Amino acid sequence: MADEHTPGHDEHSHDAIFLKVFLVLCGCTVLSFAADFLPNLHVGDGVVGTIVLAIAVAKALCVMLFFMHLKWEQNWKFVVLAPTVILSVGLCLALVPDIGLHYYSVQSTETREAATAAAAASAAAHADNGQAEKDGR
Amino acid sequence: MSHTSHTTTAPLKMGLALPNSKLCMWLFLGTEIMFFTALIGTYLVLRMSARLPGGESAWPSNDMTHIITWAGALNTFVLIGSSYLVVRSHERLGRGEFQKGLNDLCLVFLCAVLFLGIKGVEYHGKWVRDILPGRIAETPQAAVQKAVRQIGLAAAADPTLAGVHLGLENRLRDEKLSLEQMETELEQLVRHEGYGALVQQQVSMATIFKDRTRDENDELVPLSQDHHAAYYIPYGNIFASCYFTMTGFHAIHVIVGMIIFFFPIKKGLMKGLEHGDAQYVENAGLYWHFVDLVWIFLFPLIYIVKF
Repeated sequence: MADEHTPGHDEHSHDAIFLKVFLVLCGCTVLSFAADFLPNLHVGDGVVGTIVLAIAVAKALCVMLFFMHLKWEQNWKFVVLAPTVILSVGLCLALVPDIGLHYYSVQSTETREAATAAAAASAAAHADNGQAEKDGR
Repeated sequence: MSHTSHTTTAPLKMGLALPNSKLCMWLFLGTEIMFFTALIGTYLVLRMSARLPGGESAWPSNDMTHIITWAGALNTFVLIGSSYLVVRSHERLGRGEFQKGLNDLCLVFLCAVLFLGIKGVEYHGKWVRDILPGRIAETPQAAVQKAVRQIGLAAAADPTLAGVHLGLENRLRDEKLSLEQMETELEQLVRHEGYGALVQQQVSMATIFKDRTRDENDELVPLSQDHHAAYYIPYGNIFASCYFTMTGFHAIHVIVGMIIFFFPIKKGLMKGLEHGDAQYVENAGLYWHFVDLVWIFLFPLIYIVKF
């Protein structure tokens, strides 16, 4: 491992790799930003979410493997990182049953008001469409 | 003979084949992974829980919460660029190109300043619209309550408003003053020559009522086409808490990164960098890449994803 970071070793190839990774990261960011406009093309929110999170994971892997040198490190990286990853993911999963998933229907004031507002907006949109159709005729 | 072979044998090396400082940095980053995953995971769980009775998401949209996607994307470019500059600086220091390595570190520092500047613009937009934890009206009733309270602040500055404020408080308590009634009341108050400007100044701060001014026909019109102004935002406070907690802690990490990079930059400018500094820059770079890594996930999860 240490040899691969010795000054002078394979220096120009490393420079080229880092520049390529930087360009890939920039390209991925442009794709993420572009994905924000996909709903205009009637692409579902779930698809957009999947695309941008997949891009984020790809970018994270690029940063970790190349910029953080994990690609060239020895197996200690697994020993150091595995417990933290398991614990952090476990913490989030532990919250899901109580907070993230509702067994009973939600009855908070905010939820009722949000439902009322959504219904009013929907009714207004229908009224507008109806008026537009009448005008069209 | 045996003596010679003994002296040429490499000494037994204990521990891992990496510098202690680097191992410490990785262990620290392990705790940081848990910290930020807890924040992001909690945000996701809370966001999942904000549902309408029909199951649709009730989380406030970017329009309501003054989330500017291009600003987030720009900050992503800034951090990615700075990450590249750190690795380039480390490589250059390793090769003995100390001045070039120092220049890269200075650029990294400037990138951090630029990131905080863009973040500051975003925070300012939320501040002037009162999109802050605990301050957002989530129901029409809360919006009216907030408007009356803001008029109370105006009354503190101009005692002639005290009677109006008291009257509104009484109506709020007795008649369940509605949002529409409150807007009518506000229009009358804003038209008043004596304290109209004061009321407008107080209430426009709050985003409860859209900013108003007069056109050439003396008609009240919206002061600006502010798409982010909303009377009330369901789930707005939990959004604001999540947003400021996550981006705030991230910004603190950026500031800490600036402090970490300040020392080699100072040394480079005063005495010049040397080969031994490459290890410091590598460790600082690991920290900085982690800061970049967190933003890589915060950007889509806060600015783009809708679920």
